[in-house]
Amino acid sequence: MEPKNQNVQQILAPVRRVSAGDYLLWGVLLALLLTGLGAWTWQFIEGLGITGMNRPVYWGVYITNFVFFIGLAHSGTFISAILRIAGQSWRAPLTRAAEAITLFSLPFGAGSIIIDMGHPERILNVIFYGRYQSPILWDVTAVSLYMLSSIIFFYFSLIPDIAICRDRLTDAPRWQRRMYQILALGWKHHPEQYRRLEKVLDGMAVFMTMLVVTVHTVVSWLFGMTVQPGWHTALIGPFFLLGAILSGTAAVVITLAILRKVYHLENVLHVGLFNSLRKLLITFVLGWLYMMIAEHLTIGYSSMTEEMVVLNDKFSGTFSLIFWSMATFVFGLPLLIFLFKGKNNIGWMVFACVLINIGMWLERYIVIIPTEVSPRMLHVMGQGHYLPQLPEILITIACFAGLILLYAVFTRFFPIVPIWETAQELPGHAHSQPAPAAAASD
Amino acid sequence: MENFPSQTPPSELSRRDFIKFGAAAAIAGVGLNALQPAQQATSVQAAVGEETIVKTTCALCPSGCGLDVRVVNGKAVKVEGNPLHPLNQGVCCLRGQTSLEVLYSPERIQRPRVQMGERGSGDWKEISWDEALELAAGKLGELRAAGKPHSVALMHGELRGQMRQTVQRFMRAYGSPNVISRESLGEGAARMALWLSQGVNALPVYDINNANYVLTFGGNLLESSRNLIGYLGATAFMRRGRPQRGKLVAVHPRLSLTGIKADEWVPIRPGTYGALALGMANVIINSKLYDEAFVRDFTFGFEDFEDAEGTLHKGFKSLVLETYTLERVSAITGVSTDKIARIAGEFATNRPAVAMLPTEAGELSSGNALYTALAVHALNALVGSIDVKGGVLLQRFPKLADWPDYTLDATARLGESRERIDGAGSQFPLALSAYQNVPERILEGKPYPIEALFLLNANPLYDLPNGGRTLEALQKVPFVVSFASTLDESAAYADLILPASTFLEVWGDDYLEGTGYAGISLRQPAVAPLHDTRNPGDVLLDLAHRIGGNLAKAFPWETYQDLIMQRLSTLDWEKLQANGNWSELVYFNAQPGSPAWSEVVGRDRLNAPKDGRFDFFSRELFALLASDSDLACLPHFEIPPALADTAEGALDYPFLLVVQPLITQSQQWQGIVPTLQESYGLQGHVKWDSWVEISQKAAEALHLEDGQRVWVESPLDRVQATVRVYAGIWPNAVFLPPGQGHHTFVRWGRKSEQNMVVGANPNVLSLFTSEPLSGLAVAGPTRVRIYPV
Amino acid sequence: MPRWGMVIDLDKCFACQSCTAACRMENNTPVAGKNQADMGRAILWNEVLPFIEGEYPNIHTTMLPRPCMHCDNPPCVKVCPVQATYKNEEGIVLVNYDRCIGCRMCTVACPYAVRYFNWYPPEWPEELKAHLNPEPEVQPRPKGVVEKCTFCFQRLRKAREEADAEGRPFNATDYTPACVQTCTGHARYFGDLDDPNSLVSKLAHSPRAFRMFEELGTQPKVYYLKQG
Repeated sequence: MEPKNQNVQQILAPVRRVSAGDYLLWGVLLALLLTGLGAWTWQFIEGLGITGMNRPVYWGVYITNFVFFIGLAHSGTFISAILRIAGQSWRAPLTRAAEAITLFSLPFGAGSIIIDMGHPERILNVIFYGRYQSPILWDVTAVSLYMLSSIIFFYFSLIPDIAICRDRLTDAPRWQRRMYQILALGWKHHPEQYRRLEKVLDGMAVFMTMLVVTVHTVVSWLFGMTVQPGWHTALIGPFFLLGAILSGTAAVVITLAILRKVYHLENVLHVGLFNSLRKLLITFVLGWLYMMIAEHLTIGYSSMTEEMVVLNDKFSGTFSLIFWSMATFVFGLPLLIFLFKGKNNIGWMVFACVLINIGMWLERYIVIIPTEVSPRMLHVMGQGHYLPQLPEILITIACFAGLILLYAVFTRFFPIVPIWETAQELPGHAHSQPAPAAAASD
Repeated sequence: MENFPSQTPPSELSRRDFIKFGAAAAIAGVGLNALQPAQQATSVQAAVGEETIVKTTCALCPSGCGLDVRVVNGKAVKVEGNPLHPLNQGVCCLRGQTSLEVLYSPERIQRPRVQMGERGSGDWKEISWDEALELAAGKLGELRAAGKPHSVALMHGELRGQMRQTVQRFMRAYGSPNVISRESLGEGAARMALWLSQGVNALPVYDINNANYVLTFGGNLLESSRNLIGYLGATAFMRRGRPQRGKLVAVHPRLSLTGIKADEWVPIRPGTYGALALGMANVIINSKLYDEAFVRDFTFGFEDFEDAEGTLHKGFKSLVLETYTLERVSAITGVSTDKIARIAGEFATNRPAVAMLPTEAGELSSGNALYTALAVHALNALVGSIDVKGGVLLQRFPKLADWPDYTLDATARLGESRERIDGAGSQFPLALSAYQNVPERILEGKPYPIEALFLLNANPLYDLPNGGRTLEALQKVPFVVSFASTLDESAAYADLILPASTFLEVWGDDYLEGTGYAGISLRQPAVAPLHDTRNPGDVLLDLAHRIGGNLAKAFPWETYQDLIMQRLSTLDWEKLQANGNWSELVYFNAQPGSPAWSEVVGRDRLNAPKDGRFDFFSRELFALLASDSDLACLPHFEIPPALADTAEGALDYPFLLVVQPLITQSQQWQGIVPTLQESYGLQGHVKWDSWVEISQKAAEALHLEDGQRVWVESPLDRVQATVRVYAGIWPNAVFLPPGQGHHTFVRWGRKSEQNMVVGANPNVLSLFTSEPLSGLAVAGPTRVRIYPV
Repeated sequence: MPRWGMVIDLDKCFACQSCTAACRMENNTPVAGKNQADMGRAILWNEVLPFIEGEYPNIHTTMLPRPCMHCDNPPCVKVCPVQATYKNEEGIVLVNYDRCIGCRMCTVACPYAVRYFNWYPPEWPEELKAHLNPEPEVQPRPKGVVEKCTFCFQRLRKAREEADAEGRPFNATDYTPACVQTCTGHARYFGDLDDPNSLVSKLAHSPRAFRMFEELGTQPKVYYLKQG
């Protein structure tokens, strides 16, 4: 017996048809992705010399992308795992949309590291000769574990809905039905199945929560474990983590708004959800601000020469424009919008969240580049400079295009709002869903 | 692209492979050795092949260090200093290190060529040596037959060892007085000052090893001085090789590496070294800190004196005390009075102290070079530092076999008596040569037209472009021959190029200089000539034989190697070859008044008494000028016209251009040396380019930022450079690096252009003229202005 | 087992960059050319770094010749994910070019900026290849790997081979890196830091001795002696 969900038709509607617009969108995204692939091939043949990286700026936008995409990936885990543990049931409609961001941005995060390597074909050396002292190996371990468990977590929670697709989308092409059949693993909507599924998901949520903290901390330790000015701080872990959750949550808002609009899911993805996310975002923005101030105040008070070079470079030097735009985008404007405009206004929310994500990308950039431009040894000479070159831009665009492509395609074949989790009643026991009115009232 | 074998694991050659490989290499090596009988040094069979070490002598700067060239399978792969060479004692500077890039330079001219089209058109035809030499000898023979041998001129740069005399001898026997040395651009001032005061025609050698106080006026002692390697080692020894650490003070408008590594840098207004030296003399005399016994017994003209005719003449003491008061000198030089007083005090009381003269081009060329040099050298006499330990030494030379006699024929004798084309000895009574004056005189056709010009290690078009006048002059000469190794600026306008081999391919020798004691350093080929090039010495011999007559008699040798071997036959050839050099190793200072003293003071005087007295008042000048003015015979300071506020264009061109050679500059090689380019501008971190150093003040005033591209413009021309805001420069001076601005056809490094000019030639900004008496070059200080591109 | 170390006397160093050039000629680092040099990609294992501070006329300068410090506690080794960079038993920090994946974590982690990355395959004008050092250890490195000063460890092998061939025991003084050999001011000393009688270990304990970034705990084996 299927879970009872009054919105099931609405949720399944996007899965029923692939429009010409979709093909156009996919085509464009695929073209961008392939261009990026071409750029990578070019880079593989020629060498990393075709990028703007140099000495001492050994890491550029690839590593920025890596940190950014891994950060973006925190959205899903945060919404579905952390809020699941916290018993925040309002999150149910947006879990899958959020988890899909996780799932689809992770490959581009991990991929960015491989793109950045001088010898990507030697990637297996990491396994053959791995040294666990190296933060890179921590990253490799954490990210692959994160990727694996995200897939499992995502897939498990998808099974009942695949079963519904299998049962309902009988007019889908044969291959598609066959796919549902295989992926559903013979799900029968048995109450015991749901009970076990919930139990597994609850258990995994705890594990995922730990992972989420670990992964982004470890990403930050790529920088924190060196003794370069601006990086070597214990705060960098939590700072990165909070930034990741902030950008991830903001990405969820953007995604939800688009899905809601394009797939006409206004009833399912009601405004109340946005208001709940708004409150979370206010908290995160303030938390991020706290970290920001704590970090820079500590550095600024020390007056250590090489640290101050980097700090001044950010505050008033070469990077001041990026730095202050970043601060405005991540903190200034969004906070004002959230407080005064965002309530019940999805448009403003999306605008603020787009700002946040642009700002967070810049934040990753501003953490990485200024330090490299003035590393400890060379800070007096101030000789570093960095300007991303064509291949880096193409590959960065391709990563974003790839993420959107995977997302777009996914939503045309699987319900992006979990039917069973938003069901009014699950087989075997009542599963109460928060009333839209209640959520909207705060 | 992935074919490179890896560093690790290290050599995987097994023992058996090793032996096999070594045997094969040894067999291959027999042929090699037959080719090069000179290589009898230790030879080791390494894993990489037959390996030999060839001892030779560097020719990339005037130091002349001994080198050990590591040759593997016939290729020179590394250069080290020869540990048995007294000058460099096993070390090797970066120029020596990069000499392999000179040897294997892709820019080298590989065989003789003749210009087919118009001069400078680049329409070259490669010809055989026989054709080329026939062409040159034909022309020379023709001119000689026509009774115009004097219309042949030879301009040369640094010539080493026997080459100096070979060139002189060739031109003399041929019948031309016109051997024109580039010395007038640089070291000429020091040589002349020594002659006019100390009475010796020599370049000074400074005994830094034993000095307690070294004061270097201008001159990039630790970067580009004539005896660079010797002075570097000596400075290190002065600091850390003995119980008492000496002090090094550098006086210069720009904080060069010398200033940086000195104990004190004294920034000074460009062109005013002479005033500072005289101000110091004022303090020293005033405070009676000078060496009274030495000054009384062994100098002339310190006190006012009466000459034989009873005329009263002013002495150095009263001139200095009256004219060069601290306040005045401070106003001229911009050095504070207390600093002048302190340095003078330190100099006089920390003996042995030595005041050094620059020998580099551009350092003294402010129009007062001669009297500046005299003023600085006078300081050495004041503190008795003439030929004492830690003072100014005089380079001794070894006794070599005599040149064989020959008789000058009538043509040659006539030629010898002609006025020199550069005006040395006539227009400039004191000058030995006036390189910078040649183009003007060629254009004027005075005193006679030049029919053929030989350029040997000289590139006048680069050295002194003079707004196109030099090119004009070059074009006016009907026949121009260049010995260039690369297609330098002047060679591009030659009719004929007889490409010189690099020093690593030829036989030669070098006098040991900069140590004081006599010595000879041998140059022998490290590798067989790579291209169809020849040693200019061999070319001159060949030309002499082809022209025949007394010229052939003057050069009875088959090859330049024979010439060297005969000249050096007084020495133990075996030992010379094995060690790469021979020297006396000990310098004997002359006791004032002893017979040896006459070798040190007054030896080369022509018109002044050889009485063993150092001249504060130059009796040589007095005799020569027969002038009424005592000032002309005394060290004094003349304000360079460009320095006066009323100078023409002072407002339009507010900055003074400072030129200062760098250690990264390949002085004797006109081509590109990539590794030198990659370490070119150390302070500003500039590679493969020119930069202009401006002061913080100037940058603020002009709103210029570090890294900006600007034009540096003089009334003559302009060049582009990158701004480097540099704290270490006199506030209204700017510095442009010399040695850049050469054109290259080679693509150096990835994505670089194939056809480019590396940096800019600062010489184009300056107008080169000559000092009236001395014929020394005047090039400034050039006034420039700066504005963004 | 010797523990190789170097002492550089800044009072005798004249920033002539001969070490830089000697290192290049010994270790076959490629010609960068204008374009790549402008991008800061010139590979010079043994650079002289200028530190110029202050305002005219009071300027404080330090010219620091900087080889690899061959730290006893090397940050680069710790962060290498594939053990491509390692410290050998004699304390020399080396790179295995066959294993390096080119992640550049070590270049970022090294506080002394001694590590260089091959952005492109190495390149020389054809004629210049003739002077490349034929020793197997210094064959040009491929693109995509990191390289750095090795204390000229090919010379260590050669010195040992030579001692073997001559049938005498190897002595620490047989081994001299190219920069030490060529140093114009005789400012560089090299030898076994563990031998209390060696010149380097004596100089390393001189009152003038200091190490770069001593506070980082990297335990460099390159010591400097203060100028003046």
